[in-house]
Amino acid sequence: MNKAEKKFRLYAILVIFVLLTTLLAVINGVNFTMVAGDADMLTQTLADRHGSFERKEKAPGDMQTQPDQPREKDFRMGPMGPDSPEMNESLRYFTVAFSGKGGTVETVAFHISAVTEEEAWEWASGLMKQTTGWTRGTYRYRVYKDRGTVCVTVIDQGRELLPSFRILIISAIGEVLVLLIGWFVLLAIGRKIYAPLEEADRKQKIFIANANREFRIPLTVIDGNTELTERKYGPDDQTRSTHRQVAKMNELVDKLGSVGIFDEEKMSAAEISLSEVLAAALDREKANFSARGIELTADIAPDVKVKADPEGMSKLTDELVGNALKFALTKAHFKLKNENGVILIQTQNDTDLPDGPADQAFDRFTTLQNAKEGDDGLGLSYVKQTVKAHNGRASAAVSGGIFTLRITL
Amino acid sequence: MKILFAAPDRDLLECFRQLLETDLGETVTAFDGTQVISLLMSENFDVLVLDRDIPRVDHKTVIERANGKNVPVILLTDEPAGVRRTGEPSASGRLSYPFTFAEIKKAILKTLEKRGVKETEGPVIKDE
Repeated sequence: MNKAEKKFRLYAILVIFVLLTTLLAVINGVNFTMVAGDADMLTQTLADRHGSFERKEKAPGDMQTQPDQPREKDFRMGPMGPDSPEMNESLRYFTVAFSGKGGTVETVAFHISAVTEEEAWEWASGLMKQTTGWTRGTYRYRVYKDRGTVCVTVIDQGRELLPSFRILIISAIGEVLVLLIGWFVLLAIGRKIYAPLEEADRKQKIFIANANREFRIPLTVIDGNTELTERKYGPDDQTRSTHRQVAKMNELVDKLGSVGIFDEEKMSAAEISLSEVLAAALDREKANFSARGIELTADIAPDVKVKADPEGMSKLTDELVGNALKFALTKAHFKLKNENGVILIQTQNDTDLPDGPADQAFDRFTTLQNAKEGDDGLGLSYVKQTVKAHNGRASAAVSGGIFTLRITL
Repeated sequence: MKILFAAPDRDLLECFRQLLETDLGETVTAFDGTQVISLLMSENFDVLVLDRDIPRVDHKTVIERANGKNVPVILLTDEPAGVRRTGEPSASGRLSYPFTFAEIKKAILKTLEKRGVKETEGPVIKDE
C-alpha cells in the first residue's frame, strides 16, 4: 500500500466517522431534548397543581384552592404521554415549599423512595436559586413561586432516560463497528476504488517521462545539424537563434526529467542541516542578486535540522532562491526557523502582481502574470512535489506588493 | 582515431558522423547491437559511443564485448544527468541526451586522454 493510498483510506474513514458521528449526535441530542421536554411538561403540570397530583393534598397557604384529582381533559398528550392519568400513580417526585416569612420549610408532596424527607429538603434548598434543569444526573427539577412560597419540585426521570442511554450506548458501539467494518471494506475494495486515481497519476508520469525521452534525441539532432550548417555556410542569425532555442528546450527537458523522476517511494531520508543547505544556496547566487540590483537579506536560524531527502532539499532550496532571483524587483528576504518542531521556510520578494492567493504558481507548466520569456512553470511545481512528499505544506500569496512563499515541514 | 557511433536514429548518426569526422577522425556508424558487435569483432576502434537503447542486442552485452576488446565506451542515455541505474556494466563515460556536439567531443577526448590516444584527423594512431 503506497502513501497516497493510505491517505485515501484514512480520509475515507474520517469522512465516514464525521458523517456518522454527526448523524448519531443529532439523533441522540433530539432524543435527550425530547425527554427533557417531557420532564419539563410534567414539572410544569405539577407547578400548575401547586406541586402535587394528590387529591386534597395540603397546599401551602390556601387550602380552599386545593386542586382536584387531575382529569382526562387536562392531559394534552393522551394516555401514552408523560402527562397521562397513570402518571399520578407512577411518577416519583417530591415538592418542597420554602416560605419567605420565618424561613419555614414544608413538604407539599413526597412520592419517592430514593431519598428521605430531610434529604429532600436539603436537596431542594440547594436548587432554590435555579429555575429548571437536570440534577443528580437523572432528576429534573423546577423552581417556581406559588402563593407566597418558593416551591421546588424534583421528579425522577431515571426510568424515562434509560432507553435514551441505551440508544446512546448502542449508537457508540454501532459507530465503532461501522468504522471497523468500513476500514476492512476499504482494505478489501479500496484498491479497486483507488486504482483509477493511481492509474491517472501513473499515466501522467509515463506521459511526462515519454515526452521527456522523445524530445531528447530530436533536440540533439537539431543542434547537431545546426552546427553542420554553420560549418558549411557560416553562422548567421538563424543558426544562432536555433542554438538558443535548442538550449532553452534542453533546459526544459532536463527540468521535466527532474520533475518526472521525483518519486516519493524512492526518496531517501537523512538528517540534514537545512540552515546550511539554504545558506549555501543563497551564497551561490549572492553575486547574481547583486548584479541584478536586488537587495538580498536572510534570517536563517542556526542548526535547523530536518530528516529529508538530501537531493530533494538541495534542489528545493535552489529553486526557491532561483525563483526569488528571477522575480524579485528590488529586494528578497529569506527566513528559516523552527517553531515548536515545525520548520518554516519563507521567502518574500517585492512584486508587481496583484494581491491575492498565488497557489497556481505551484501547478506544473503554470506561470504567473509576471513570468518572463522562457519561464517553464516547473520550478515551483518541483518545490510543491518535494514538500508534499515530506508531508509538508506550501502556499503562496501576494499582499501589499510582497510575494510570500511559505513552506512548513 | 577511429570512432564507432551506435544509436537507433539515422538522422543523429549521420549528423554526428559528419561532425566527428571533421573534428576527430574516422567515424563508423551502427544502427543496432548486432552491427556494433560485428564491427567490434572485425575492426579496431578507439572508442565506442553507444546509445543505451540500441535495438536487437542489449546494451549491457555490447558493453561487455567492447570491454573484452578493450574499447572504451561512452554511454548515451535519455535519463537526466546524475541518474544512474544499478547493475549496469561500467562505461568509461556517460552523456545524457540532449547534448551538443561540443559536449560529445569533450567526452570523447576526455575518455581517449585517459587511454593515451591523441586527437587526429586521419586514421588511427596509437601511442606505443
